[in-house]
Amino acid sequence: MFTTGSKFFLGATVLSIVATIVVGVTIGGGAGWQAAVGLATTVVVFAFLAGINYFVRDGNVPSMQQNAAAQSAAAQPPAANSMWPLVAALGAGLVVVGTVSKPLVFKIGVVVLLAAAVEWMVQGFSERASADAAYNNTVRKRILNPLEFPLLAGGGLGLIVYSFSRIMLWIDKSGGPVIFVVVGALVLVGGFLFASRPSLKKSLIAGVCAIGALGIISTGAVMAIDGQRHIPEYPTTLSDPAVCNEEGEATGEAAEIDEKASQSVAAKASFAVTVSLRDGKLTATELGLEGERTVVTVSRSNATNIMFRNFDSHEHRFTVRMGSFTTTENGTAVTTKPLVCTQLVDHDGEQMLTVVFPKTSTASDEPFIIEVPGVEGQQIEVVVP
Amino acid sequence: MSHATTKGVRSHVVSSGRSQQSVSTVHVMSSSGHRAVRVAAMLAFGATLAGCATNAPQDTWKPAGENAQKIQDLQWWVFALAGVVGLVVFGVIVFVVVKFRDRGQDMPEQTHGNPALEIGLTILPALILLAISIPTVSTIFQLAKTDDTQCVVNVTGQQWWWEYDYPAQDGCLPGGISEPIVTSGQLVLPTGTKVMLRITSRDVIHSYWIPKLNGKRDAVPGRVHTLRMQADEPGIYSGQCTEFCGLSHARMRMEAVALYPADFATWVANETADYVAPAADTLAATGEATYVAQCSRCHQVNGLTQSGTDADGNAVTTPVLANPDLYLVSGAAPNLSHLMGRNTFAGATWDLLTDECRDRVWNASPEAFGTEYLKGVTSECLNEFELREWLRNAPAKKPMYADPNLAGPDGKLRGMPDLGLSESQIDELIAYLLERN
Repeated sequence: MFTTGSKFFLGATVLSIVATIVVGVTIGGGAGWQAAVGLATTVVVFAFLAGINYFVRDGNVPSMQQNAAAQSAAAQPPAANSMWPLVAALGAGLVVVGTVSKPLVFKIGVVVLLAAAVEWMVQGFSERASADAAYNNTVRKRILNPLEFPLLAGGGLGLIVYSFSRIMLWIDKSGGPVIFVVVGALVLVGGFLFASRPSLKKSLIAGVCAIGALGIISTGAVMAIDGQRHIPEYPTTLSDPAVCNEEGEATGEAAEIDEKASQSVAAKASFAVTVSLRDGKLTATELGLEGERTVVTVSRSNATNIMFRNFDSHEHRFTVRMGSFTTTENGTAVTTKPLVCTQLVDHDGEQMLTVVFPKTSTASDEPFIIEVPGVEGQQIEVVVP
Repeated sequence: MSHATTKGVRSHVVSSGRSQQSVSTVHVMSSSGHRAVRVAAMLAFGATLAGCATNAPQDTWKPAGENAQKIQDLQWWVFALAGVVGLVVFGVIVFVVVKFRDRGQDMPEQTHGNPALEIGLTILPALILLAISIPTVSTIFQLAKTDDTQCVVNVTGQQWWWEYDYPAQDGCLPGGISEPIVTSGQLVLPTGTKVMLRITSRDVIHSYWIPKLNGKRDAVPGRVHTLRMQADEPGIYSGQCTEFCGLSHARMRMEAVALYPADFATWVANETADYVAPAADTLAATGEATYVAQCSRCHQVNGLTQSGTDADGNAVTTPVLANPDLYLVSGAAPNLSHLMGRNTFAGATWDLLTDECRDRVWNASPEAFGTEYLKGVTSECLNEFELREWLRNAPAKKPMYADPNLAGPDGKLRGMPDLGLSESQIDELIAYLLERN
């Protein structure tokens, strides 16, 4: 009935079904559904593998049946020389070289090694599927073509897209739209021409597309080697008193923080304190403590994530004042008032601020304060023991 | 053909030379087989004896709190079920090996597949896993429950010690905690109280585990992970960092000290008490100056002040504030305000108490435990030998670097360096620290 391999995969399929049910029932909610869908894919994979094994009967020929063994696929000479050992050796070589040179070489080596392993394995298997070489070839195609075609197509498209991105990163920022318009127009015109001339040879169309692809790839390679244009980075936090103490948009160079910085917060972000601004009132909650807090306690010398949620109708920035410290430098008393703030946060927006308080608040001449510039009389004190 | 029995191994003897050879092989295997059985029996005996240990403070099978009990309630029958399955599997293997061993018999009829048996052997494990997984997942969610917290403690790991700070809060005891408390090595908590630990790390990933009170929880820099801790009875519960975190990972220990609420209130009052300076012209007073000169760069003693002059030449008194962020990778060093109020030092690795005094605390009855613990470390009970060795050369006692000359980023250190203290300075420091209780 079932072959040995197919029994194994059938068992794995059943276990996956059980796991899917358990996870779906016990966890529930969105996370439960996501996990259940993830596990359901393992059910499909194992069922698929079970089907393949059942279909090809594990390639078994009982050794007791002498005649069958003599005529079996295993007794036949290889259909042709295999290039995959050579490719695998190349992949292994790249892996070794990559470990001592560049991570990219290592990664390419791993991909080549894996591809060679899969191809070699399937070739070895298909050449033993039967004693008929032609049939074996169809077996190989049946297994690998569904993998090879999408992967090669995906890889080819990815290469074109990557090359195009190198071109776009090389050219001047204002030139991007022009390139997009020109390339888009060429594609549109080409498509129109091909469609209006159904009698055109397929080889001609393929040739034009191939030349276009090669042009993009070669141009992209040249521009990748030359390097991309300078792209400035925009901070999401600022320590400039002129910005952090003031209401409204920053001006000058500091304006970039409000105009260009992102405001995304990772879904899995972990924060110790949550500060909310609602109806002109600033409130704070601490993880694990009941109710709203007017004083929050934060560990010293520790990266502390503070979440700011703006429910006010206007955009606001969120500022943490880390006290006032006086030191003597060359006989002169120097006072520093470190602070840090976010960019402007939109209505119903949120932003997380990671703050490290290196000194205890008892060492400061002024208290550590969380506040929102422009919102008067609303402050949360931060105690750092 | 005849049959013979040698040392319990039954074999058949036939006249052919080949079979005679097989008989001698059986004799050799008999001798080595007996040796293997003896070794296995000794190992099993040793394992059984190890399971009978009485001094096993990190025994996961002796829960002392609600959450640990939940784990216990789950694990005993899971282990029992796994044991039964294991015994059945081993039994079947032994049966098959013995009954169907090669005795020169003819090749039996070859069969291929037994759908009923195979389907049964697939469904049975699936049902067993189903039976285990449902209560397991349920227990995991119960252990994650923290919405009925009565007390919050921040737990921060760093190489290679744990810091505990108690935020000002309404919980923990009637009237709450009015000002933050910072301590290390020993987590002090009130009995019968649902304590929530907010666990994080200042440098690398650590893992917090007090086996008798709950499962483990990773301490990850930049993240806060919560863990419920509740002790039913007063006592000391040992734990150990369970995520490899560097050279002295094995010496990153921790202890949870559970006190009756009244005793806990006494402990809180002691921790928040004002600084008491040593009496003038004593060794401890000299030790205070030595402390300020040698230790206060990293270690904080709350309330300690020093005299000086301001820019105008006026006499002023300023607080002595530690700046561990300038010298240490983690940016923190243990707060020594009440060092002698705890029983251990250097990551709870060494006792501050002599063996006799330590036993008196550890073996105290629940009613007497609080009194014994709150005595702290007195001069009679101080384990001076260990503390002196630590002050003499800390890295020699607790390795910080494979290469002692290797410093961390920006020249900062991991752990306490060798300060090169003289014996007289050590005497002074011990006298001073002995008053920090």
